[in-house]
Amino acid sequence: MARHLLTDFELMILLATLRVGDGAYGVPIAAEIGRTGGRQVVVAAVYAALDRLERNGLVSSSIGEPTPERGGRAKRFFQVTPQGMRAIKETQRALVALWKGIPELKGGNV
Amino acid sequence: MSRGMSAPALWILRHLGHRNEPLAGDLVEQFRAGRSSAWLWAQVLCAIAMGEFRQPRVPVALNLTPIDPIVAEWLMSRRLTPRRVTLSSPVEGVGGLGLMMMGFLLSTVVPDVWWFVMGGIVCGVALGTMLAYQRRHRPMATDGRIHTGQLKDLFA
Repeated sequence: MARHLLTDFELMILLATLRVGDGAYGVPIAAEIGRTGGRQVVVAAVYAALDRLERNGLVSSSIGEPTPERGGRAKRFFQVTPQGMRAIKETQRALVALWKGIPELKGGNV
Repeated sequence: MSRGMSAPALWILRHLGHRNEPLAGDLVEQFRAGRSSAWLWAQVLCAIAMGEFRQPRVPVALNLTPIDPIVAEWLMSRRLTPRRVTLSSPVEGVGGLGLMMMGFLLSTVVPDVWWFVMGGIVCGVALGTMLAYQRRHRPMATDGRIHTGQLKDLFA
């Protein structure tokens, strides 16, 4: 199977989905990226990335029940698949390998 | 921006939200939870710009009469079956009425460029004719009409 290295935004989406855990849908994922990742994102961008990740088999989704506070619209919950977990780890390994051996980045004074 | 300014954004969500219900639901939920109108507008405009509320693939029919996608959906919502629906605009999401409005505004604001508008219309008709010719052998229905049920399937 070909390696799937993630873009920074895809990686953030997947990590935020894991952090939110059960009940991860667009808004909490976007909020988690803002709170923990320090990056404000629009909800539409989160859905666009999640759609792409789902097409690549890295996340799966399920539709919840419609609720009145959402105007009768259902939530779409996302879970990271085993393939998504592998992609996260591969991306982490690649980034760490690139990180190592760069003197300018040692010591935390950058 | 006051919360009253959010009415058009909510209208857009009501009418286009079915194309991405989870996203529309998220935005409505957050707005009702206290997010500002500016936040809602930013989210809705970004969603439109990113194509999240874009109409799924719509075929070009033989008839070149332009009917805007929003008008087609309005007809569907009133359970009126349009005899023929043509969405022959070369620009996805911009139907015939959108192009007409664009031409009207352009020729009103800058009358000197009427030839540009006319050229655009001629090119649009030529492109529509070419697309219709290419798809002539793939009619939407046996009687040459597009019915409500078929449109709903297309928009689903």
